[in-house]
Amino acid sequence: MTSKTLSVKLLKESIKRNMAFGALLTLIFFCYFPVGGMLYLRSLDPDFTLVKLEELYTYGGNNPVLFMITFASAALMGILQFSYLHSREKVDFYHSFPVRREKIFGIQYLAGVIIWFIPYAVNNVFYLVLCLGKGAGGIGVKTAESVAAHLVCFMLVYGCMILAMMLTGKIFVAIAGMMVISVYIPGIRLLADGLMSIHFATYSGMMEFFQGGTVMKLSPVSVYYLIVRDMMQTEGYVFPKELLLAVLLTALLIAVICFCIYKRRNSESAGNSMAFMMAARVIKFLIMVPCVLLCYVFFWGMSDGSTLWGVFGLVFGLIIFSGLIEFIYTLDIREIFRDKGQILFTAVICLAVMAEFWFDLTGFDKWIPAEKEVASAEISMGGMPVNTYQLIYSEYGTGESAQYVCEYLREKENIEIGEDQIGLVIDLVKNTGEMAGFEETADKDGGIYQSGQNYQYYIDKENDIYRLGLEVTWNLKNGKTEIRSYSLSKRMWKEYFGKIWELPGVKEAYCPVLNVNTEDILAVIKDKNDFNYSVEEAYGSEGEEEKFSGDTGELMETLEEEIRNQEIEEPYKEYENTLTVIYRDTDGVIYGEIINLTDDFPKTEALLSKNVS
Amino acid sequence: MIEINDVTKCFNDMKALDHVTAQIKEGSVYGVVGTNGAGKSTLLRLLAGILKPEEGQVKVDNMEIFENVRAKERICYIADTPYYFANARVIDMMNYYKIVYPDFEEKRFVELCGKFNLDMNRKLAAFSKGMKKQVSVLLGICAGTKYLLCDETFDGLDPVIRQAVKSIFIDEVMKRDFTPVIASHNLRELEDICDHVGLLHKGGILFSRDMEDMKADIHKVQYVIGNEQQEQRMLGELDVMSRETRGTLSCITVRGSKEELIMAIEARKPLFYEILPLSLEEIFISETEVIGYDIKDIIS
Repeated sequence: MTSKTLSVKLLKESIKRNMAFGALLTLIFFCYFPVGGMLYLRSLDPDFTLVKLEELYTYGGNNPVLFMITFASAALMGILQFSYLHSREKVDFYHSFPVRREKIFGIQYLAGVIIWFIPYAVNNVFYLVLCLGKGAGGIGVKTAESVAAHLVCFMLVYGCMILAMMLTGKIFVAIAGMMVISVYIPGIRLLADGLMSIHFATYSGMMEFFQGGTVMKLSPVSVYYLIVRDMMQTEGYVFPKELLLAVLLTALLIAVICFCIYKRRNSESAGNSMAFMMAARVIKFLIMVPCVLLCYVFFWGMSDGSTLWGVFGLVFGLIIFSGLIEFIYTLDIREIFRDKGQILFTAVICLAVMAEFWFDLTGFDKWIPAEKEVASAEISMGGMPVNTYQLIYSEYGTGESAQYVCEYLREKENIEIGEDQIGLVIDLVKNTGEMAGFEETADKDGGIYQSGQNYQYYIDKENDIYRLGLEVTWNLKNGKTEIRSYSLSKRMWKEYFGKIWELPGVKEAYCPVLNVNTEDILAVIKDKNDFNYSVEEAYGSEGEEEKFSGDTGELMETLEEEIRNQEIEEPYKEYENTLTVIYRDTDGVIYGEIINLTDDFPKTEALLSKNVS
Repeated sequence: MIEINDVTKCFNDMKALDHVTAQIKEGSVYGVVGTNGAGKSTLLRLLAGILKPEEGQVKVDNMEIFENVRAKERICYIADTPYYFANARVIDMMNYYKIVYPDFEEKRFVELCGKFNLDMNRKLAAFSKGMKKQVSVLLGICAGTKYLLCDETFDGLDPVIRQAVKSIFIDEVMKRDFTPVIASHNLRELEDICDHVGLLHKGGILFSRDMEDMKADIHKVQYVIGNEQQEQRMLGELDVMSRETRGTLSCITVRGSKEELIMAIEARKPLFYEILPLSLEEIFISETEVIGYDIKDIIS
């Protein structure tokens, strides 16, 4: 028998042995795609053609349910195909045969992919054919992209599970390992964020994490989520080619790593918690350090900021997690403190990490760039003189029957400062020191501060106490970006931020509606202090009764004049009404901009009152 | 030929095999006997290419066995607890063996299953432990390999089946180039089938010898010699492995030729002496007593 024939026969045998799972997947995908899909089709409103197609695609291709099914299938397949490594009898059985390990690995790996892929692909095609039959054509390309995306993500999760199976010798340890792989890097990032938030007054948090930053791409769970999220958007659909290619390469790399590990794995590892003792020590260390630090954060938080309790958390975590991991390794309670050297080493490392946060050894909080290092800066803060919010609308239909649906709402915050004015930003930042040590000057009910914490703002108007949060994004000339948060008093705000606000072009850049041609303005709406922008309140429907019916050009000139004349006097001025300007930009997209009508806009208010119906 | 050259195998801190050297010639029926924890299963797993030795080499027909397909094609391993696929029937396992062992004799397997009353379409999960063992033995025999490694194979088989399997083994040895290697501590079972025996103890080979040579080299004699001094002198001349005395009757096990033994006894003009036949078990016990493993100490 040739090697190829042997491989094919062994592959068939491997698939045969997991036919039950394959049958289950076939049933699940059959219920989900053709059956569920056709039921869903019946429920859609036939008039919304565009929506119908997109919804069909969203249901069919990139539903969170499908994400969960595929993720679970991949993990389960990894266990089913390689569980033999955890049983001495099975290992002896397979390894005694005249079949090389490379072949065994390849066959098991491939069989796992096939068992999942065939039911998925077949039912997907069935669904597509049914959709075409119902006249819902045009989703073929997106469906193919969806299949490709899910296959690649399946391989990634599958590979990670196999890696966990290779490194361990018991299934429950492998499952725990897979959980660690799934959350480790994002977890570390979140932990770092927690520690920095606690101890670094100028740390501004990491919104990029939740917006799909790099760290999110370093976990099989979150990267899969990111890919599906991008493809789930009806308006903003993106097929993330580059990300998928990176994921595919990573999945293949993990498969190669698993293969290499398998070649070196001793048969006698079956039944041991960890297959490689050296790796076990390293893994234990890598898990213990973040867990111990997490205990610090937990106890610090539970005690409302007591460092002493935090230290207790360190010690507590060290004992608990060292013992727990060692127990998982040996399943012997008497062995939980056998590796005292490692416990000590871990304690030293944790203390070293905490020293950085306690004493700011690297000077994180003290850092202010030199003027010559900075290419540009962006300032974001609450309490801006003009609060504006930007909306993006989708347009359905044309003319009289046109309807606008608000898709996206974003609070505009950034003021961009060029290289030649960086000195003003540095002056501003240098003088936030007045807020250092700001404590207990406010009534307890109104809010209490503790030094080192980083609230965005606090206002006690009665006592004329303001603490304004400021975030500066420094775009350095070396290509790096640093973000820092600061707090400043009202006096500093007026004196230093006021200079920035008066810089030419700042106000116009902050309120882009000032740059819009009058003929591009679709509507101006006065509204109460309420951001509930549903379809009924948008242009073309119930908003009619608050729509501005006067001279749009005059209104915009008045608005511009009042914005330009605004002075830095009081932050967080109250307002009763808002002004929404809906316009079509040069890129053809319909934007809306909301401006809060404080007492700085008397003329605009007057015009609106006269001309709003 | 299987060659085991200075093989050492460790599991964590424990040495399961310590510089073991042995040769298993073709055409012999080789028995691996040993005390509990001696390393019999470990040795067989090394021979099967499942384990990799820390030191030394295991070669089959001059080829290192580990991860060597050509060498492994000559070996079939029967574990002490055979593994079968979930929900597999006998015929399913046969089909799998047919894939991995190209020379698998399907016809012979079917015939043997019939003789042993094993229903090929019945699920193995429904079989008793003994029946599962029977299936594993038949699969091993019909794999058509040159060497068959049997780990505690005869344990769990009833006496009738045991005899039947032994007959098949002998038949195979006579018929073709077939060398079974049988690990067991059931010495009575090995005695009538093995022609070569290796004795393992605490990870080392105590001896590896032809059965006939071994029996020819150790003898048991009971005697009565009236003169104590004469008796002591005789005991000093002989390589005495063990001695028991009940009153005036003494029983010794000695190493050496039968002729030398008879000469030594007759020279002392004993009142009575008789050469007793030694079983493999008695040889085993004697040999292990010499190195301090006294079974009587365990059971007393």
